Amino acid sequence: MAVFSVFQTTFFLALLSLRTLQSEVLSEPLPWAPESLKVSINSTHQCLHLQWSVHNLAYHQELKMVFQIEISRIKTSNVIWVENYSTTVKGNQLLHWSWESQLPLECAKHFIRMRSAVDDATTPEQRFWSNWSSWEEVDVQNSLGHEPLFVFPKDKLVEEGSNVTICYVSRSQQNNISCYLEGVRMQGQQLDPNVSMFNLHNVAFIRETGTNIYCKVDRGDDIKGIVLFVSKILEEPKDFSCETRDFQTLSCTWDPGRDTGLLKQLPQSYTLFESFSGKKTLCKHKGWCNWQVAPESQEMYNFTLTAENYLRKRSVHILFNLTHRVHPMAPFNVLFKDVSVTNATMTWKVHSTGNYYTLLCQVELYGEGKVIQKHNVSVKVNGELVLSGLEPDTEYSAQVRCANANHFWKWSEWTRQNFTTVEAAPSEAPDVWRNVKSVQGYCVVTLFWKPLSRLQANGEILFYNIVVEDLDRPSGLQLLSVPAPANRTELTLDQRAYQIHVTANNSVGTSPASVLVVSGDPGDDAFRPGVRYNFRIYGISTEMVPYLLEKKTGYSQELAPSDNPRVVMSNLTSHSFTLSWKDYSTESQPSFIRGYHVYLKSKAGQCHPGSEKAVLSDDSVCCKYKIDDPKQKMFVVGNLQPESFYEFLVTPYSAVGEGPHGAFTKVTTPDEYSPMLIRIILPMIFCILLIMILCYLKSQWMKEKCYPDIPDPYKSSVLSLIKSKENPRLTIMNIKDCVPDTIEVVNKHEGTGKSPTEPEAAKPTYLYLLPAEESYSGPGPCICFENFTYNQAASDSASCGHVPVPTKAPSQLGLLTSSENLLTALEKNCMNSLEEIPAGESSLNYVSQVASPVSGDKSSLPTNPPQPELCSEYKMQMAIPLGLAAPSSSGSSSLSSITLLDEGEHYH
Amino acid sequence: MKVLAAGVVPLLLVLHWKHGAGSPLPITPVNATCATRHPCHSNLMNQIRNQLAQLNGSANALFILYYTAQGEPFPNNLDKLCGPNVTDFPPFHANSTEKTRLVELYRIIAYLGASLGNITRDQKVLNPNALSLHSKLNATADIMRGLLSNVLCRLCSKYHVAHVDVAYGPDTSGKDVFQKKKLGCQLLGKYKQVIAVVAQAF
Repeated sequence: MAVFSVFQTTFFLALLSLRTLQSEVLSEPLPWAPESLKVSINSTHQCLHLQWSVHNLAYHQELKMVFQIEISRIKTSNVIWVENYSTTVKGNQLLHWSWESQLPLECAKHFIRMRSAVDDATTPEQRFWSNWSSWEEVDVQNSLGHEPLFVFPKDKLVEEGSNVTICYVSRSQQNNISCYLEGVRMQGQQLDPNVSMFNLHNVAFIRETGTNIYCKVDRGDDIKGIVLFVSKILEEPKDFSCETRDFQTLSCTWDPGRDTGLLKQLPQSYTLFESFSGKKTLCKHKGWCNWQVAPESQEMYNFTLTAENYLRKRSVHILFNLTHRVHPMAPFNVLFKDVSVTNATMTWKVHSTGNYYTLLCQVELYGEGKVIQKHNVSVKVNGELVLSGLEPDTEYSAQVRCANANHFWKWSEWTRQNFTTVEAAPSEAPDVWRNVKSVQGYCVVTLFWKPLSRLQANGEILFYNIVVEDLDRPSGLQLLSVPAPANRTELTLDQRAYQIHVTANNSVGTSPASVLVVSGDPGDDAFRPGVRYNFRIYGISTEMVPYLLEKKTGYSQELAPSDNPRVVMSNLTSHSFTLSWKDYSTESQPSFIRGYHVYLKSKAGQCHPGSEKAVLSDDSVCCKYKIDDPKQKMFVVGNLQPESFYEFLVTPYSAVGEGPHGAFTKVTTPDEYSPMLIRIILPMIFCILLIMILCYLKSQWMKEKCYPDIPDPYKSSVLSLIKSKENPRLTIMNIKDCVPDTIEVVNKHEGTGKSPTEPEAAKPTYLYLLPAEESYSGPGPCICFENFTYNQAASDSASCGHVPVPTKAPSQLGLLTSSENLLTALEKNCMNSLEEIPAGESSLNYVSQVASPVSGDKSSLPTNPPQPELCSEYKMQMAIPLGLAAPSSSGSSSLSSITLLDEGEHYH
Repeated sequence: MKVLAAGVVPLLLVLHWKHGAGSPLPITPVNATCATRHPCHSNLMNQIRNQLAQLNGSANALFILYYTAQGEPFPNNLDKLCGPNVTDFPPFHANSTEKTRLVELYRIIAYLGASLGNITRDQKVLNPNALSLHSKLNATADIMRGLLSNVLCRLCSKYHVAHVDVAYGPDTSGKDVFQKKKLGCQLLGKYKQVIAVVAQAF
């Protein structure tokens, strides 16, 4: 039992020691595990900096390792970042790693831990992770102080378009805090009871001085804020180039682009780096930089220009050969030598560039402000060019610039210099004119000449030489010198023939002479004053053919007009009259007529606008109208008074004066109304006369139309027919015997041609004037009358219209066979009308008081024609021309009835 | 560093170069000798009064220019951002003796001058385009320098006071931008308030 106990104890001890050993082995850090992890913060950049070393790494050992880093926020379990950081580690080396937090570090606790693994091919057996280091806590809030409210991040600088996280830390949970950006409240997210964060996306550049973001406690009296600086994105430099002017300095220029809008303390910087020499320089200026050319004749240059600001870097490169980037200095010492009349030699120098290359120089010659010659010259050191084809005594300007002849890069600036060619003798004779007068037995000769043009003078004309040669005495020479710039001189000569030579002289020589001859006879001067001369000027071509150049008209001396125009007055009214002098010729006057003056005298003496008062030589006052156009040869004198006396005069005027003030023409304006009366009364009288003549000539027609004779029934021609029948019973009814009882109004509506069976078609309207007669229905004597006057009217209007259309004209005509004249008349006057009855036409007929009772049954009328024996006939009023009525030959019982209708169609 | 040199330091050097910049200066005993570099103006108090009136006349305009240039929220939250909450501002007793008032005025102007130097320095950076504000700040600082010189002359010539203890406001160079703006606004608000009282007292 004891043995068992001892064994048991020993076993437990052994097991315990093994466990202890094992735990010691396990707690021992693995070789190359991270150790001494330290965390620091950079609030400005919102960065966490980690520093650690590798355990048990030999001094000389070098291993490629990977470190896995974990970052948690607020609590360790909330891992927000895991990163594997690979690097080569040397013995005893301190390792560093940084991490930038999007959230300001002041707003939340952060925890960091890491582990390592060997990532080296030389030790493949070690490829497993070490244990995690313990969590390192970063808590900035503890060091903030005791203020009630904080806002982070302070003075953050970002590029536009970035995302920014803002947060506040409050010391009291009770506070209700609101935050604003540019006055607009931001919506946040609470991280813990005291901390809220606000995410700003794609922030925009607002102003260089930053954007105020602030938070305030709703019931507090404090505001805390930050300023967020947003910069524009740094642009890449553009148009980067370098050149040299002297092979000592390279001047590099570029366009920096837009300003980033950062505060002045944080501007962008520009650095120039040359890779062949390995040199670097910080440029002082934003757009250019100088670089000293290496004395060891470095030809190739590879420049890198780096633009950099707080947030970004941008680089551009150029590679070039120095000799290809030569911008020569402007030539100097430009001189002109051997300047002659037409040539000059131009020389200049260029700045020394060693023996690298030849320069190409460009020369431009200016004359009168324009380029007149261009030359290219190759130059090593000194340039020389002969300018030819120049004009004498002319100022020129020449300029020169140069560039590399082998590799053109840029022209130098121009260097300009003026020079003037020397003078030559005048090339042309002066253009001389003369004027000869005879004064007291001498000839006074005035010579005129035109100054020579610049091209003819070839210099400054100093004087004119005049040599007078007496042609009668060859030895008699007279010399006269007239200093310039005179252009005339006067000579007094005997009345003999002379030859005069005129020459122009400058400092170099004399021009060819201009020669003219004076005969000595003053009558030579044919030009007379007041005479108009017309010249035709001809040029002579090289083939000696004359051609007309110009026509000229002039007077040697103008004289005042001698005659006034012959004026015709017309259109005389009470207020105006017209003057014209069309026949007046301006070309035959002793001077150039410039216009006319019209003088008007009146008793009133007042002048109207357009005229002015003038006092004549006889002290009389009148109004003067001025006409400036010599072609205007008509003038209307207006604003006159009726029945007034006027006098007028038209006289021409020229540069010398006006025509003579001769006799004025008198005129009296007529009465104001008489012309008007004449215009009205004369046409009226004429019209009346014309009407009277017409009336006289057409009196018969007028009588018929206006007041025809009233026919007398006793004188009717019909009576003769009746009498011829010797019927004593027949008499002419006296109108007094007829008592009208009714008036029948017949309305003939549309469709006159309708069947008479239609009741409304022929339904007459009866107006019973004497009702007592209505009862009368028995047959009575047939009484009829004719009234031509009445009939005429009916015939003219619709006398036939009321009669139903006779379909059988021949039967109708049969009743009229006794009289051809009547037949003709009926055919003429009635038949045509029957054919032309207009629809809807109505007529009014008289119906005798002795109308047939049959007429009461109107509907039966068309079908039951009245019997002739009833003798209730009415004579229809009709038109019968006078003298044409003839007795009927019919043996009808109605002896006196003349009818054009079939009996069956005879209705009342 | 350049800005610092252009702001506070020259002012201190000009004022106290004989005795060491920035060191607190005790009031000199009455019987101590006091010498000025230049003879004082005959009508010194009148000049001091005019300078105070000049400062008082322009203080409000300077205040408005300042808070307008800072942008929102300053113009609309003057009570919270620009209230005269300056804790260590030198006191002023209007009813005390002229000597005391002059000594207190000296401390106030010295404090204000230094603070104005800080504000000017900050604003040249923070609002480089606010030229009228810069001009007004410079003009005010110029008047203050003249006033300080006159007050010292008066103290020295009449009361034989050559040295006065002065205190300065906080240096804003290490503060964040928003804080700089706020401190400047508070100081100018206080200045506007104090200068009215001081001008009235003289």
